[in-house]
Amino acid sequence: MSIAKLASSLKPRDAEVLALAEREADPARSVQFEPICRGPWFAVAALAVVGLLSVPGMLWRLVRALLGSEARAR
Amino acid sequence: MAAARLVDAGLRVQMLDAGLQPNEYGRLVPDQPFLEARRRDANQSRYLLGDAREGVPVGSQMVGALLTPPRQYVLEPTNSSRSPIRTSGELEIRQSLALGGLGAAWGASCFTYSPAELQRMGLEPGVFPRLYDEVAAEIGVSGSLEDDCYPFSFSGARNLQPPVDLDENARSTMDAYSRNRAALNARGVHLGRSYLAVLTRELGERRANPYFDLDFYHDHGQSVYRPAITIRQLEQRENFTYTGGVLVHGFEEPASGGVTVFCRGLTDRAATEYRARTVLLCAGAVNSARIAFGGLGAAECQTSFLNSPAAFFPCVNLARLGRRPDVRRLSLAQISGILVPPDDPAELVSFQINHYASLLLFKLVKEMPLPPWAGLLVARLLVSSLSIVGVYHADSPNPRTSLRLSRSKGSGVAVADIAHTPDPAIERVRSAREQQVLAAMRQLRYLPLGAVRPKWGTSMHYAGTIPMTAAGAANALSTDRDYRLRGTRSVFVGDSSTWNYLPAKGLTFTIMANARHAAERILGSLS
Repeated sequence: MSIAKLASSLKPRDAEVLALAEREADPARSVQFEPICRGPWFAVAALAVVGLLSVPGMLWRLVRALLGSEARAR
Repeated sequence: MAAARLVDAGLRVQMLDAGLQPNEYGRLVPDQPFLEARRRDANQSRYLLGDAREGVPVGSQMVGALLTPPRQYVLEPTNSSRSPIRTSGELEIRQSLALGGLGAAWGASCFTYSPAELQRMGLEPGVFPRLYDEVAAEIGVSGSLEDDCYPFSFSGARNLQPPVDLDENARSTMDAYSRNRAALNARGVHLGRSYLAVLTRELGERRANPYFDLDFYHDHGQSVYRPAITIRQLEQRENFTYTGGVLVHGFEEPASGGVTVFCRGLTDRAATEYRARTVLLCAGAVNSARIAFGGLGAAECQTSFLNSPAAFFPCVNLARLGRRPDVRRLSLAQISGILVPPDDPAELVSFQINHYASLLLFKLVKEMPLPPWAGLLVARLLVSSLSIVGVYHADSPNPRTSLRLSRSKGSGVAVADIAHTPDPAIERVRSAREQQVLAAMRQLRYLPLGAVRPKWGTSMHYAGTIPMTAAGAANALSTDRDYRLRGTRSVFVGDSSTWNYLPAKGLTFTIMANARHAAERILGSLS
């Protein structure tokens, strides 16, 4: 599996994107989608934290994608 | 524009057009800024996502992903039977049957072409400054005559409204450019405010842009020029008739004179005919060629095809990272740039900076290799500084790209087959130019996050299918210097089909000027 395919397999599925879109277009939840504006250093730190916290989820998705592709190959 | 010129000259003009009308979403967009609408408008899901959620891109969909539901009617589906185009999987050529064509969804960026570019295209450089000025006055173009990009992007036209107000993202970019101007200019990079067909002052019944940041969804006060505006104005004139809902597929020139135009109904496929003294084809590069082929009667033919390829680079504008976004802003590209390659100054590269604000976060999350919760947080942290740098290249006729026209069995409708094989040498040069642009962006404190290279053809900048050539040139379809289709007496071509070269800069403004010129040639032929 190429790196591009691996990265693609980590992207949200269509159903997840649709669910997110429905939430985003709900005015009652608009605050959950507003820009976070607490300055550049906060943004850098928050990006680093989000990156670290999402590693387990990414690994889980990666394993699932690899197992899925192997099963399909068999 | 051609019809307007002919109507102004007193001719009776009938426009035959598919003319798909806008859907109702546009009327739902409120008269308030995007950020306020997001908090309050209960109807927002209809115009943000569409009733059938057609505004939520699925799979690897790229083209149209940035076309919001109110604008999606503009693009004909790739598998359209009304306007069939066949391509290989690496290409995506799109057409429009909308009222005003692709102009119904254009980004409103206006560029003029230099005399050298016009010469390469086969057009008359001497007349274009006047034509550009006339078009600018007609549609309303805002911009500055004092700008660094003026000599490259908009020279020759002086009839301008004041430039649009810059948002904080654009202002910080221009500040960084001012600090680095000498170094960037030495590398051939020039940056400036975009020339936009967006009103900053009232023009007739059209209003100045209200800076609602909803320009991807609706044209408040008709502040952004769309060709439909001209058509609606022409409909008030007694010597103009608009006939919508028809697809022209061919013509015939009877010995008795004039032209008979053959059409089919868009919905009922009913055959109709119209008679005219003279016909001007302005159906776009693919469809004008299709009609010309239909009229000339060949079983099949192959012609040239030009497309301005583009690549897009999402970047973080570090000067705006974590900063509050503007409520009052224009959604369209406020800044444009030109790269004059030091080793090949004749082959300009054009780039535009779009700040991502009102296009919703879920579209960003979709492209991130992250769990949705993490993608959403990253999008919220980056969106106020996120910019998309679009880099556009020129194109010249070459044997690796062609349009082949043939007749479908049964219906007889002309089918367009477009083929393109990339030239590795040209691709290397284009890639190097993109790196030069990105180096300049880094100097402006933009951090590139990656590259998006859509399929060839997705820029929807097409030309060159009926080139204007000298007599005896070996092209299946061509026009003479007067825009007259070779092999006909009274059929003219007034769109980008006649161009022998497609500059990197956006083509719409020059299409309008060129259409006026073609109309003037028709007036000359009739007198």
